[in-house]
Amino acid sequence: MKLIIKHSFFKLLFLTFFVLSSCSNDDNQSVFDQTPSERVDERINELRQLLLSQPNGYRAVYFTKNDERGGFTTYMQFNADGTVRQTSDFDDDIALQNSSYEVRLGTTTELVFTTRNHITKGTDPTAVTEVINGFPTGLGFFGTSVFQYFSNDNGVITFRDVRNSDTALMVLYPTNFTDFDTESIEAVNTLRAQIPRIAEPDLYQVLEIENGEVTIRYDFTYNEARRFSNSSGLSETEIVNIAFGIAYTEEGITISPVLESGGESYSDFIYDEATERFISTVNGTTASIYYSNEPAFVNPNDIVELEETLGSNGFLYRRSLGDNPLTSATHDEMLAGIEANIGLAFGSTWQVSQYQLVIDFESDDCDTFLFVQIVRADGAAFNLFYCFLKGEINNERLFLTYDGSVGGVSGQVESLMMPLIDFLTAPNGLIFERKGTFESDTNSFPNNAGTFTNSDTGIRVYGLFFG
Amino acid sequence: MKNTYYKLSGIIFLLVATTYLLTACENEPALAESQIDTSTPILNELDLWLRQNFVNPYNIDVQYKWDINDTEVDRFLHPPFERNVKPLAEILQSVWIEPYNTVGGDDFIKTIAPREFIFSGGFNFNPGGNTLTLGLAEQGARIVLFNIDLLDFDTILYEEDIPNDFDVQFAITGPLSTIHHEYTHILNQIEPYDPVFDIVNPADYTSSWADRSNEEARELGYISAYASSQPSEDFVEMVAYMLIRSSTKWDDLVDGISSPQARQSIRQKEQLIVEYYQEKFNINFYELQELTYQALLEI
Repeated sequence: MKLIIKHSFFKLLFLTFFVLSSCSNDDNQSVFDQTPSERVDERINELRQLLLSQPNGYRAVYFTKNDERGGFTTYMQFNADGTVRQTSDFDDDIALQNSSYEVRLGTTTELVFTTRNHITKGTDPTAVTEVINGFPTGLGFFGTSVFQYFSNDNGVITFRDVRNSDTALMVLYPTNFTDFDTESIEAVNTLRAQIPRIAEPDLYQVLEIENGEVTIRYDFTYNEARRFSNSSGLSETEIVNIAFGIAYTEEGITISPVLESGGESYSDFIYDEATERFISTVNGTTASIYYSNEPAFVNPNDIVELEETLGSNGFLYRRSLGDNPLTSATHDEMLAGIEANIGLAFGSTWQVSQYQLVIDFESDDCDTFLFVQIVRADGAAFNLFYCFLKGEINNERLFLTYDGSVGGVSGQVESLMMPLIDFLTAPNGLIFERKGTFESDTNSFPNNAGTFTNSDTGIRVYGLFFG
Repeated sequence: MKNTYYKLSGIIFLLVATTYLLTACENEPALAESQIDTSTPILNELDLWLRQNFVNPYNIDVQYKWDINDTEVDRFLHPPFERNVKPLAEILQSVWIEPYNTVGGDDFIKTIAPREFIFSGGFNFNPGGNTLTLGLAEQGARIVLFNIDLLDFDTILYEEDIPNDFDVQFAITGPLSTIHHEYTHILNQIEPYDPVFDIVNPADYTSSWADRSNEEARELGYISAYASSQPSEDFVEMVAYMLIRSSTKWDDLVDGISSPQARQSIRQKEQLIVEYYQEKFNINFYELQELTYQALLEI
């Protein structure tokens, strides 16, 4: 028993010596020559001084989440009193505003826009809404007000967003302005001038890549509210989809992620006034985005479906069903012209309230016909009928041949209706595209929907099929 | 002899250990100035006003400068416009702090209050699509108010008077209701309410409360759709509804319910609330209601 006590005592004694002397041989070599807090302070001061080093501020190009949204440019002038002055191209409210900012330690050294200003529009959920479970739900641009300081490359400062670490990027470039207030507003107006060059939803757009040997064309669609584009085209074996966000620049647009094709990368597109195209040139190859009278790609099954079922069911365009942006402005202008001419000829004011096109592919006995209803200001409605020979399909396009009017009133206004008839009898045929079920700004129906496009004029109409 | 040996060993051990302990730190440098930046941050005019009117008298911090950690980090929210902060803070003073202090004692809010208000500029949409979070009360320590940039400070709206109930959130009655709602949660955390409240009309509490209109909920004996989610929310919704209305306006709302059973349930819960305030805080609830309503009119 005593032996056990004696042994325990010496064990305790040794253990105590080990514990008390275990750290005596620490390696005192420093990895850093400053303490962590000193290094943090230095990094914060470095960013703070960098932001203040440009008295006329920075141009910040911010892609909030480049797999779903595009980019925005904010001009920002940082002041030593903790305020920042901004304008941006987020929306048409471009007035200069002041707010607060801080440089602080968070996830890492961070630039935080602490009160609301243009840059915080990137986190405004009401900027982009979607109906979810029947309720308009705010999604916005998925942006942030808190930016992690990433790098400084000769005065060009890069920030990231920890929440969208792979898809968000904000880069600050010195403006080199001499008068921030005046020149920043001018610059924003220049940026926003790019919008109509790329964001007319009623016109076809094409993304075309040309490398001298091969030209690949994609159907390009652009959602300006999200600043995001989707393109689809046909390769030898499959349908290819390309998606990228867009930010406006003074010369054109810049995209993110970059477009990769044929071993080349395209990111900056310059607007060419002569060809009305955004063009990116890399090593003698080009990628360009432009409006067109016809789509780059049409599903070949669509015209087959028109021939087999939809054509004989009848296509309807009716104004009271509401508007859809796929109907071109030129189509509405065409109907407005017809209405004006009927008014000149017969007095009063008129409206082409609807027209229907039934297409038969076998008979020339007016089984293919156009029914038009015109309505006078007093509510009197007149029904007009015009015959066509049987529909023909060549090169995946619909060709119609006009064959005369039916009935007295139809004949009386035939010459006035010729713009509509000419639209349908396009010399190069009508391009038909299926567009799911019917949707307008006021209605949605389960009926099949589609568009007819005259590629000679670019006139396009969206409507539904009966049955 | 052996006892002497053990005593001697113990003394030697103690001496050695003491020597190590007392000499271990002798070569360390004296404490110097903190290496952490403790300098005062830049304070603007608004910051100074908030310190004078909230931090100093009530130990409440009104935090309007953005810190992503103050709200859920996976939500896309933004800070408020600086210009909207002081007007809302002044309303907190007049419609919440002063009435409570008048009826509950000068230190009532100083003693029982959230230590921090967070102001957020925009709406906080909940995933799933059909609801918004208007405010949060976290552990009795913090109240977060959303959508303050969208407020019309001059408009008083009540959901029973307008076709779209949601429009209340653009009027000053929206955030005030949220403040009374969240503050009552804090009072409940300090002093639990009578469990009898939970069984006044328990049958129709539902997690699918958002599928009910406020009118439908009232016909079931709950003052609002959200009140029908669970008893604790029912309690604070009742308080919020009463404190942003005059007693006449409140009576009109309750008397307008067609179901006698529903009216009775709401009146019974009203009585329990009045007793709660009297017994737990020695506050005459109807006197408080009069003060909060008058303050609302004077905004």
